[in-house]
Amino acid sequence: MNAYESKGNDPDLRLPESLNEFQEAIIELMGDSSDIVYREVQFAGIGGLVVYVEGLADPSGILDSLMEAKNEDRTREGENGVSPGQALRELKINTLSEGRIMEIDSLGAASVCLLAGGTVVYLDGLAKALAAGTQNLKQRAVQEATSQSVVRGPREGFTESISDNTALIRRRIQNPSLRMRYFRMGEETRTSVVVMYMNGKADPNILRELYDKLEKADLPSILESNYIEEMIQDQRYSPFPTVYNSERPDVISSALLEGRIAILVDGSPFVLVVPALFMHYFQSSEDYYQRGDFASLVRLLRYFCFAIALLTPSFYIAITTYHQEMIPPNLLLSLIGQREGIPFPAFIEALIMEITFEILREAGIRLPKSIGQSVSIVGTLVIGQAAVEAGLISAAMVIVVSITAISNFALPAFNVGISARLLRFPFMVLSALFGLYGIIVLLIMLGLHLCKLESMGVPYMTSFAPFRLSDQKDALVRLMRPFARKYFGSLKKQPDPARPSEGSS
Amino acid sequence: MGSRQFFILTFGLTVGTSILVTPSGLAATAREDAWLGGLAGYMINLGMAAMYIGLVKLFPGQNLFGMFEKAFGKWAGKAVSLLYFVYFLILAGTLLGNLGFFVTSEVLPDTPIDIVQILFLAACVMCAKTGIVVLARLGELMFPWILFFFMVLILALLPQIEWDYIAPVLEGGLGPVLTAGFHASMFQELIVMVVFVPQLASLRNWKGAFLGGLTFGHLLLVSVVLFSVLILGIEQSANSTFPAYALAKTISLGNFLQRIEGILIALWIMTFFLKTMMLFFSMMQGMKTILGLKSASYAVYPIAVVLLLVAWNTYVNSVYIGEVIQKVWGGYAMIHLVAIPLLTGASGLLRRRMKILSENAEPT
Amino acid sequence: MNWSMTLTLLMPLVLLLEWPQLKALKSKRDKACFVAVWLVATAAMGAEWAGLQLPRPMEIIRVFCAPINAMLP
Repeated sequence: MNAYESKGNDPDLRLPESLNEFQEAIIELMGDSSDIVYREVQFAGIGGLVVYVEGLADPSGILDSLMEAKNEDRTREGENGVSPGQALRELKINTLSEGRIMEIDSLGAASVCLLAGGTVVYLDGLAKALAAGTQNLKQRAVQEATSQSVVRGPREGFTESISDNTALIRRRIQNPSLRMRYFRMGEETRTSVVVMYMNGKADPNILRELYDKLEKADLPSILESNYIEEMIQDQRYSPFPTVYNSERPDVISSALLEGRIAILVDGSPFVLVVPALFMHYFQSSEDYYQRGDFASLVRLLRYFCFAIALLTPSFYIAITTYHQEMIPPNLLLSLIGQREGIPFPAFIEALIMEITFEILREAGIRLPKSIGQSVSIVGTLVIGQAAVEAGLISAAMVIVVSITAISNFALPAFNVGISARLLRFPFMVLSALFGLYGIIVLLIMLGLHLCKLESMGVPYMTSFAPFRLSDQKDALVRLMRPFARKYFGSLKKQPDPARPSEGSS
Repeated sequence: MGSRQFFILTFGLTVGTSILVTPSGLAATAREDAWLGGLAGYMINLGMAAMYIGLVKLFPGQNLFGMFEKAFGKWAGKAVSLLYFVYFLILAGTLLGNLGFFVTSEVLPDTPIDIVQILFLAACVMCAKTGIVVLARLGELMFPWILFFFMVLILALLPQIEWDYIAPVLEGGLGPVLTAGFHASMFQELIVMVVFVPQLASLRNWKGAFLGGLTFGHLLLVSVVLFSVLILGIEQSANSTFPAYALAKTISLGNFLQRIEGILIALWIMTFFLKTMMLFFSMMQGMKTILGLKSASYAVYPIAVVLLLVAWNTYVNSVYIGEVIQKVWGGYAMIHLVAIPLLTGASGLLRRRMKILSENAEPT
Repeated sequence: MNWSMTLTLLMPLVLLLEWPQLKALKSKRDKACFVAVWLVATAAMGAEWAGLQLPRPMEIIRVFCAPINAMLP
């Protein structure tokens, strides 16, 4: 669909043929808003109207061209009148200096154009008009991406304007295979959504499924890319994300080069990437800008941090409650000494500390930047210290909770950190009830869930299970470039996994 | 399902429960040669595996239950399949009982046995509903960890080996070794893998995967038996219910790495899960083939409930189960693992010969 | 905690949970099979709850396999 067509509710009414009717029709459709400007003009002896929305459009180019044309045309006014159709064509081809110009013939298209920041040029007596793209939106300049910063690497981040964002990607991949497809979604907001992919690398099956989902998505409004994310993800109820998002053009470009598909949403600097697998959430763009061996170690550390963030409180509870014999004797003595006067069982202790920490973390987000950071981590330690001295919590517990929280922050993708935070609690409950046995059984269940999960038909744990040796260059560690020209094998959607038991490996 | 996944699943099936209990039986019969008994068991299992491979060749494209129908006719075949269904059911239930027993006696002494089993069944039900492909993937995830834990155990145990425990070798002659091996081999239900051969993505190297999984699993088992003899000595090995666990308890490196039997627990639960799930899936496949169903996933909960009942009624107490395993299980297993497959193979060969004869008799 | 009671009482829930899937399969055979298995399971668990002594599987096998076991070493 072209940029000025709309889906659904806009009136399909033909444009009226007289100037006054046209103006009235627009007023009726869009209300007598004070920011819609109607400017009368004349071209080749025919009366016309230039309509635009102040603040969204910049019609100076159009008005300038019209004025110039009028000046030149003084000589031709005397000739036999030009028909409105010819005049319109003349306008479109020779006169107006805007790049994007289209003919429209419905009120719906006119309103879409106006609301997008375009200008409508209407000539009396013709049921057609011209829509020109004249956006001049006030928007943020390209700045550093705040949510994902790196020590070394480009500092550009996406902005809220979809055309800026597509440009940022185009600049990095100057390849004719880079394709885009346009959607206008959301009945009430009519937001622009663009799907980008590399032709030949992206799996057409995944593309088709994505288009299907986007077309079927029945949202009234789209304000952020998360709205789309929730509509296209395969599994609604999993704590693990199956759609990756990023604010950085270099991350998105590298994903596109791997054969994945990007979804840009107007109004949000967070671009979605599909399909997204487990290992993608442990990759950071910095891995590729620093030395390979260092990056490999750090990446392994991240996997380890995920395990720590998930399991540490549960292990603590399990070992102190059921398996005390596993602790070396000296440590055991000091732990027992600490837990001596504590009124709560280990599980309640852990629960209290974890919830306190979550409260602090949530509060820290909203405090002004200068205080915010310190409140989160240091605050917990301080409060923890006070609680220890009051005899409510054991010191070891404070350490456990702090390590858990800090490991959580070490994960490069925020959404996987959320998963770990959520899943901590079932593990804690089960370890309180069944100790180590409970943890292992729940780990098996978690493993089952992860193995069952799919992102756009690609198994979530691909590269680990099914194990692909060729992909190991980039999954757990990153091999240095001379050894690995191409990092990633293709991501193919599995042949109709309607039920995983019928699918392939 | 790929061949690597098949390998891992065979491996899990082989190791399964045996890693915990086999040493005691072998040590009781073969004394110091328990590890030789383990090797003998391996040989016997190899022979059984070769027979199964032959079966697959004779009845291409059929799973185990289909083979019976082809070999013995439709209704007799279904009856035989039903027999196997019951066999797998009882086996899985007994395994579940074994699990409950182990956990409540060694790991969580104050927990009632029922809830331990129910928790495990919850994971089994979840897996059964998602399908065997997911289990295969999970196996791929678990395999490195199983290896890692095993290596840690082995390495940590090395300092404690007393090489004299293994002497004298072959004191009683080969007899006890073979008997012990025979008994041990009855606990490897490799025939379960035959149920899944048709589901392999490609039949190219399935034999390698099958035999490889078997061999690798036995490698683990024999190592455990060996170490059990070398470290615990035969008396302790023969007398403890869970020798491998006792083995893990002896680990003491420096003053720090002590009592890390948690590792063995994790290892064991993982392999146990693989084995139990293979049995579960073969039961579901059996139901589908025998009754001609479209899917068996709705039967998962009822099967789980029945498994629980079997577990409660089999593992009544350890004396009972010890006696039953010694006296009754051997014969029961042999029927299913050796006797019937032989008959099936014979029938298959016969049919093939008759077919060739009748083809030759036709005028060309 | 009396698990046989809990499980017996939970069986109807299983019936409810699985019914939509069964309807989707549109097969009389599957429905019949499910009902049969469900009845067996519920009856058995109910018997356990009621305290009836269920036959021990190993005893039945023992009887069946007596001849073979006599042959083995």
